[in-house]
Amino acid sequence: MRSVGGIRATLNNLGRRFARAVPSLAPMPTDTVVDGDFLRKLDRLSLTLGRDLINGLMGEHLSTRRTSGIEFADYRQYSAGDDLRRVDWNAYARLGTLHVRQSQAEHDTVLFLLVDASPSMDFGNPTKFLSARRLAAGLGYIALSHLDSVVLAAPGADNRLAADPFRGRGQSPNLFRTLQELNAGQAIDFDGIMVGWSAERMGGGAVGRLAVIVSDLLLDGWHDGVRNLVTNGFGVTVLHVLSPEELSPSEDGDFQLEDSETGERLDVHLGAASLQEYDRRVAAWLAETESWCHANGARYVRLQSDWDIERTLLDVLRKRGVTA
Amino acid sequence: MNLLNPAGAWWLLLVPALIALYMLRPRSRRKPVPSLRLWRELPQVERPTPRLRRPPLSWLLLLQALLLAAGAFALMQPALWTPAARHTVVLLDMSGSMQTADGFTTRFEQARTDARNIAGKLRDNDRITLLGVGPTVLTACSNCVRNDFERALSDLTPSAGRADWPSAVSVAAGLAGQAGANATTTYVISDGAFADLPAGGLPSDMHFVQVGGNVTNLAVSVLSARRPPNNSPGYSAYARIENVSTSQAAVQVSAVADTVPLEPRSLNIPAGGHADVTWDVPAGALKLTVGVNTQDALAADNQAVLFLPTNSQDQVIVKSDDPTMYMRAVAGYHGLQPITDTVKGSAETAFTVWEGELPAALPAGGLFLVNPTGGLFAATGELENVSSQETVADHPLLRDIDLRALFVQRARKYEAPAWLEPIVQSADGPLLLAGEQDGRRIAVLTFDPRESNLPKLAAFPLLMANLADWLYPQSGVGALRPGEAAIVPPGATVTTPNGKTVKASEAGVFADTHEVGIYTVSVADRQANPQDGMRSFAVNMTDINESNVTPRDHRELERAAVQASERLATQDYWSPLAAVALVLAGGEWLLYCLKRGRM
Repeated sequence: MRSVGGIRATLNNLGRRFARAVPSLAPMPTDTVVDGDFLRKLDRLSLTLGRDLINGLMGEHLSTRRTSGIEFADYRQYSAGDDLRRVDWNAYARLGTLHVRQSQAEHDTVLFLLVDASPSMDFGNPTKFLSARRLAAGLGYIALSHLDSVVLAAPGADNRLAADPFRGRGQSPNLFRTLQELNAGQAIDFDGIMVGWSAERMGGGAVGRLAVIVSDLLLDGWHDGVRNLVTNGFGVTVLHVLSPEELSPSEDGDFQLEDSETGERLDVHLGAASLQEYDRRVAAWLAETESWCHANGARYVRLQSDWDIERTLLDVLRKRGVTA
Repeated sequence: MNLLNPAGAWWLLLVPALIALYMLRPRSRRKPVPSLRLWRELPQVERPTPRLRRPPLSWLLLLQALLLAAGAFALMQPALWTPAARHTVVLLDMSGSMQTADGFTTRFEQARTDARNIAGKLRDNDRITLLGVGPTVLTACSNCVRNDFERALSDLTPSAGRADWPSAVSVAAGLAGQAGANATTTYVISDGAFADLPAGGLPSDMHFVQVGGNVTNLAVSVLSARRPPNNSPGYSAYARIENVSTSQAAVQVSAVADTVPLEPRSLNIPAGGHADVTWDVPAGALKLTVGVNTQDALAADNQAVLFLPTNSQDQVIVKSDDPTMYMRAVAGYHGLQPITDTVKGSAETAFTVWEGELPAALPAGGLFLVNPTGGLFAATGELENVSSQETVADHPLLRDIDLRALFVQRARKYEAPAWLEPIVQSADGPLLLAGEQDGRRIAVLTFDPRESNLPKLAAFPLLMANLADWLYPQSGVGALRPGEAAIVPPGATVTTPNGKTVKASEAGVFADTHEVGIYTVSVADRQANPQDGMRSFAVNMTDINESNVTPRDHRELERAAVQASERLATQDYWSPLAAVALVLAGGEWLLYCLKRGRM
């Protein structure tokens, strides 16, 4: 029997190979969030990556809780005080040492997905919003395959989302449809949503609370929410999605910039010095954001909207330590 | 520097316009961004500057400005004033007197040297025309450059005849008028051995270049032969010997009848005087040669030759319903035989008298048309009861006759061709016209003589004799002056004194008689018996005007141009500027491509 570590290494190798095979910039040809090809990729990702990703998302807050439940999960060596009914005597006969069977803990594990639907997300090629919805679809599908339920929130969206969580793999089409129908609408702070999540879970007392925030973080009102979630035991991951155009603009000349969220206009001249200073400021802003997330117990991953979703899940998230 | 198109300067405004365009910043482009927070927080971001800025130091701007400036200057057509090209017309005397030996060369060679000197002073853009003035005016080269002029000058040779100066100066005046006032200088290079020219009609800027000095010349200026008054056989020959020098000359004059020498005469001729001598030429002699035995400056006039006429030598064809009158008049002229039709193989046709309706093709040779209808002469009306009012007295046709008594009952009125000159005019139209067409002579009597008193006038036989002399110059004594056209059988071959053979025209006219000597005429279809087909005629330089080789000044040919500032012409430089603009455009395009990384 191959050890868990060996399987993981094999999967990682496969993931890297797969990542190399996929072009770095391979956006879907349309605005479709999930199509047939993407669904096949999700199936494959779910098989190869699912548990590790979920474990990774949980991080140090809640690792795998293997208990004496019904569903077998793994073996461990016997130690004093263990229930002898859990000892696998067949294994003892073969190996000569005592091993105790472990089962998956039976509890409500919920993935809270927050997809920023503010107007600023509707930029880039493909747009950050589409990239965020694809990420949400991927994470949600994997979560529905391995966890109990997925809660989706899209602050700023024109659409009204159902309050009930998505439960089980059978709900994944509903999740996809919901994500597909989302439209970027208005700029709304999502502190409130996250505080609500915290309060809701505070009353329930359940374990396995994961929160993934997919946003460009161009609104200020997210810090308190993240801090609240972490404080209340959520495993919080911030996926910071930015478009290549805003990371390194290349046009020069005189521009009248218009804020997509506030409509405010600003006359600027983009020359070599301005662009250099912009790059420096963006880098500082990204570093500051990442530093804040780490300081407040949230995992931070920066993504680009033009990256392939499969590569993002397999390679980028693993490198950034999201995948366990 | 002058600008031929100053309005083109407006295009220079494009240069400041271009610079203004460079100074004007492009309008800001509107660009939606996700958020302004990243831009607003940039403390050192460059803010839009004012719409106008200092012109950038750009090679593209420099090239474009230079391109526009060069194009604008090209459109202004800058030009420099340069002396205008001048036209020089050289009238080179090719008359017989120019053959005079003078010093170590001939006057013609001296004239050629002077012509070369004139051409040597020409500027590169000047042009020169060379007219050889002999019996006819020859355009040796027209508006040519110096090299062509030199070539044409080398090809010219003097003739033995009299120069047609009135025609030459008329041509020169025409050329001067064509080129514009003060643009043409005319030079006459001659020994001046011609009568003064009338001042009217001369070119405005004209100079006379005289060649030659005082020389001694003895010349046979007249040679003629007549039947003796007593009707004895043979001829009486008469010659005049001129002494054109400043001292008396003792000279021996010889005469040869065919090959038989006649008695020579020794003469003492005073300076500027002449002496007349006569000989009795024996019967049967066909040729008489008279020569002055001397070594003088002009050899061409030292000898003269006559071909003595024989009875019924040449035919005169008379085409008339009633030819009697014409036949009787022609019969009185020695050497001419009037006939009413051409007889093949007999004597040559001297000329034709044609009365009434003309045929489609006129007969060859000289023509005397009487009361003609059809063809060239469309009658436009009739004249009735008219008399002679005006005559051209010095015309050869009217020599020694007076037609003032002429009265015509009815004459035709013609729309006469330009080449026909009215010789006798009535109050309402011409009665007698004469002229040359294609080298042959034609005289026209516009009335039927029977409807006038002409046959009854004493002038009628003389008129017919003059007609015979004019229409057939070699009739009688068979001698011509240089340049005078000879009437020969159509298509006949003529051998010149220097042995050159020339085919006469189909009209039977041979005009290349510029050499002194004996010309032999042969007819091709008489080769079986060459003697039958051969005739000769002589060309003698028996012209006292040409023999008088004393140089004469012609002040009437010295006409200075009206003093005016030198004519200037503009030489514009738009094309080099346009080329510069083109090069700049190419350079600008190249630079633009390099900057854009297209190359």
